[in-house]
Amino acid sequence: MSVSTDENTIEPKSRLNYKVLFLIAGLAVIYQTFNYILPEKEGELSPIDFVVLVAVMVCAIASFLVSKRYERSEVFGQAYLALGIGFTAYAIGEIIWDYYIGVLKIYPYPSIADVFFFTQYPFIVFHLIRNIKFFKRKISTMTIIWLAAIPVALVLIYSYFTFIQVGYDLFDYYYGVPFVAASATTLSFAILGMQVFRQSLLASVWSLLAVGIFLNTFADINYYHLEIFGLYTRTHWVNVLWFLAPLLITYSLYRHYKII
Amino acid sequence: MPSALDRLLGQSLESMIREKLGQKTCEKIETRLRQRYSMDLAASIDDFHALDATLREFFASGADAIEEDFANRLISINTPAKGRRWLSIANEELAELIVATYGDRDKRIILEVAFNKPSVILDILETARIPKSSGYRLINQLVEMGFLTEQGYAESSDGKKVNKYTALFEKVNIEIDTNGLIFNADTPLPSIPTVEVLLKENILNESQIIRVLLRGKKL
Repeated sequence: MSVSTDENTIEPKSRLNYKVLFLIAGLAVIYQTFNYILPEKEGELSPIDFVVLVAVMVCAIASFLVSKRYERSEVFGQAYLALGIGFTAYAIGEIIWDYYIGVLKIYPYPSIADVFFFTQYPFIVFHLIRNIKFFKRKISTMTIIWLAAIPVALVLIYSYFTFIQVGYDLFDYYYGVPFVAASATTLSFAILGMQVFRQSLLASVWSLLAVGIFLNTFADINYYHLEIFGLYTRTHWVNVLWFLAPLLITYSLYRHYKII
Repeated sequence: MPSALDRLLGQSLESMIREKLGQKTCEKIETRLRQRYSMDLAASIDDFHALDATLREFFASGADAIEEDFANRLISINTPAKGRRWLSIANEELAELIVATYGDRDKRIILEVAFNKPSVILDILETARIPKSSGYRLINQLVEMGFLTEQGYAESSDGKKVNKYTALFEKVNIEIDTNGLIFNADTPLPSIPTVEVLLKENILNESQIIRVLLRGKKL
């Protein structure tokens, strides 16, 4: 049989639904509005504190569902299982954080919750590498250089903005470095993934994932910088980024589910 | 019409694709194959360019890595400095099929006779001294599986063109390492045979699957 293409055939749906993106943006605006309105009382939790937790849990559940769908696939099954475990660790970190504030009345930085917050990064990186290695065998030296350069550059920026100000806490600075480096590494691999899958049906999926991880990394770096100076508050805008990131990643999971 | 080598390789390739990409992804790929080419996954393996184009539509340049992996799991071509190139069979299912086929006395005789002198079915069976009743069935099986391929025509007594057949492999090396026996709950399981085949001239170039999978490599 010879290969014949029909120009009238329907392209597989790979485009994003802008209504969903507007809905996510709308939710972010509502979230931050309530975040400002609801008073922040020391040692007390408000309903808004649980919203990020819910977003992260939704993302973890979506990852497990996608993993279940592809459980017999060599690549996607394990990759999405790792993503699910990563977001589960993140959710456990959030629960411990809320427990410290609401029950123990202790500000949880540093705390055992950080172990779980950190655990998400290796699992997210595993998810990204597993996908990338499956679809791109050879990584050029140039690519390896920029993959390493992004975390190095972001740690340097984090350090620069710490040391140009007075009143920094050196312990908090060093404590934040591994989190900043690990979060920035997830961003590096997300950008590589976006490059590998551009022009494919999964381009929109990886763009969304990269944007979600970028927002998460941006929020993380800002947060660890704020902690050095003791400036973090619940109403700070980094929270809306932490709310947005898992929602975008969940939407990318949904798109992946729909496309392949 | 797929080449004989494509028919042979295609038998293992479909299960390999399903295992690697997973059932759900394969269903999506099949839906797309039906939309664009009106064929399912099995048919697209016979027309490998259609499958290649669809994989590229889904995974863009990522299809290269997928196809490279299929090739590595299927075969490897040994290219000595001098002499002919041997094909190592990396896929267990395919290796077992070759061992089983060449392990069958009648099939082996048919393949040897057809290789030495490409002939019409009747002549092959006469030379091989195999009864026509069972011989036709065996030859049809060997053609379907891709061990025999058409090579030229002969003219019958009533002037009709009749296909001549020849074997795909000139030589087959089968190595069974008895030290490699695997024991499972005290029951020995057979070790995986190592199979190498020397293809008849030009067979490799006729294969769409080989050309696509080993894209960029000199055949």
